Amino acid sequence: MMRNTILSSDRRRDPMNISIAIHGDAAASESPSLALRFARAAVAKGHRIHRVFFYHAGVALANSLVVQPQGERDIAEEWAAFARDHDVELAVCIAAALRRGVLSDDDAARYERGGSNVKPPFRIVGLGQWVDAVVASDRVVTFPA
Amino acid sequence: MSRRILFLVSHAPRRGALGAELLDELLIGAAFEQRVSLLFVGDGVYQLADGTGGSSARGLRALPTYDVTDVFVERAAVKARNLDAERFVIPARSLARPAIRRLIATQDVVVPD
Amino acid sequence: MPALHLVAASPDSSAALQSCLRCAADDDAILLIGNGVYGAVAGPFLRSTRRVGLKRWFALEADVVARGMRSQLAESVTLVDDAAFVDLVANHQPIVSWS
Repeated sequence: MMRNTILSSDRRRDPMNISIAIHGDAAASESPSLALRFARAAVAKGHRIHRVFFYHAGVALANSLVVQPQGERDIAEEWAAFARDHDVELAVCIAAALRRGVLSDDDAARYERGGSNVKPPFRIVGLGQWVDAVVASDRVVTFPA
Repeated sequence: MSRRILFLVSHAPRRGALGAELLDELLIGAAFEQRVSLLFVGDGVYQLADGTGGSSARGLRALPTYDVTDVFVERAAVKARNLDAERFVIPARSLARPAIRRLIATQDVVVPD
Repeated sequence: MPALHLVAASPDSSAALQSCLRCAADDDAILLIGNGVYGAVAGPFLRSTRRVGLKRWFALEADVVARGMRSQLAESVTLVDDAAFVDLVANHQPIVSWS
């Protein structure tokens, strides 16, 4: 027997620009999977995801060297597919990425590291892209670690 | 366009880059002429009391250089922890709860630590 | 416009819910997500809210069901599907996340 009331969805309203910040990594946090559910629902309701910004531990989703065990969800790949399907930018903060060993070709060359490991379509960007997203968005939702 | 962005610190200092990374976001917001402010609540007030000279404290000391002066602290949290506001790394305006709620209500974006 | 607070950590794992309650206004909404839904278990929930009064409480249905908690929720918590989560975001400003 259901004792709790259920909030049902509003009629469709004006589309909003929504940006999302993800601070946690899939291995240690639900942050990326919660954010993906939210993003899918937002798009289904006609809103636009302006940018998804990966910061702190969240940059790990962009690491192409990660190998998921068979049978386990690959949240990074689900984000990549979502981004391709809906033309959404997956922006990864360069400073946080460098600290955690996620390097673009340019960074790998600049810092003389063995190789680069950014999983497309994730893109390494400066922190200014986060500010830009805040300015351009009606709502910013952060999923903390 | 300039957004009101509040950086909300609720955790005690943690190992690693987290404190510095939050301050990086705040400073870049200030550099891009956003209306940034910083609020310490709960255990977060320990970041103001951080005498270790860690990266977080250094970051905090840079705030005036960027004209960031809207720094606030939860009055009850300071009192409950017996901290001496005179010894904080940077000055912070002490807020009671109603003022904290009003501060949050006026923001466009809140960034958690 | 009232704020929406997202609480993503269980009450025993962090001070997230406590800090949120001190900073949330009476007309703000509080949405429990992920492990935050453990904060909606009847006994502990009533202890949390007794001191700070009833704000508008919500919990993400998928996260409650995934944890098998549906029958243990406090009655004044409204379950929310992902579409209604989006509506909560659209109808509140700012969105404050706690962990």
